[in-house]
Amino acid sequence: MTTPLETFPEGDTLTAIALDLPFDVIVWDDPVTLMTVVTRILMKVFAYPKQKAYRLMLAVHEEGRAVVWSGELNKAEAYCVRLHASGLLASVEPSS
Amino acid sequence: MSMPFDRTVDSIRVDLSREIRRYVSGLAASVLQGTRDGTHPFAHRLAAPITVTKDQDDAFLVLARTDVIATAAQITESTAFSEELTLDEAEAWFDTLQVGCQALSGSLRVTIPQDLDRLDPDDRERLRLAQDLLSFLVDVLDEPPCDEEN
Repeated sequence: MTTPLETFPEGDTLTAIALDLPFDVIVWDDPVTLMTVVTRILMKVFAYPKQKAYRLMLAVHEEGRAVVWSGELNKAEAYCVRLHASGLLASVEPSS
Repeated sequence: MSMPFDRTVDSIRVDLSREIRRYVSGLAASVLQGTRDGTHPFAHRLAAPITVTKDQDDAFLVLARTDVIATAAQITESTAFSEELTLDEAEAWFDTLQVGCQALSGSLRVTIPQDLDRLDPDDRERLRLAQDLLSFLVDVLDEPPCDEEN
């Protein structure tokens, strides 16, 4: 079977393919941020309904981190910037 | 502290002591300074990596983040002694208090809940005050506006 990397051996194209892979926006738990604040920020940044934001907040709280969004790298980075600007610990990494 | 914010249709009345307003102003000033001075105790947390697999984040993204944080901090600092906030100004307070709370905890090396126990009482109080104000702001920003005719 041919993998995408074998199909496009050129450096620039490889980069483009890599950028097309999904990336996760991760929110990390911390000891000072209130649960209500995390929920509100997720609603504000992603326009999630309260129930979804609350469920994701609980996942962050209980597991130490949670994937709150997945998709294109540039959008993931833009979301991460907004999360940082709202005061949440967040990062972007390739989807596993 | 009793509820210090009261929402109308398009604004929020603020009932805070001068001491707490000075705290809000000072925290906003520290956030602003942290965006401008890489040696400020807040700077490290404000410059957190975005994409962990990259050696260096896109300079445009870093600039955009700094600009958003600094703008909210400036609005907060300039309205810290206002009797009334627009909803946008209240959102700036919310973001700045949360960013400030995060950056302050980072500067105090608080990474796990047990770290809070070793803080001196003044530092613990500074964090608690930010949390209290944030909690009140969540309530007031999310509540439906009251009908002033009733």
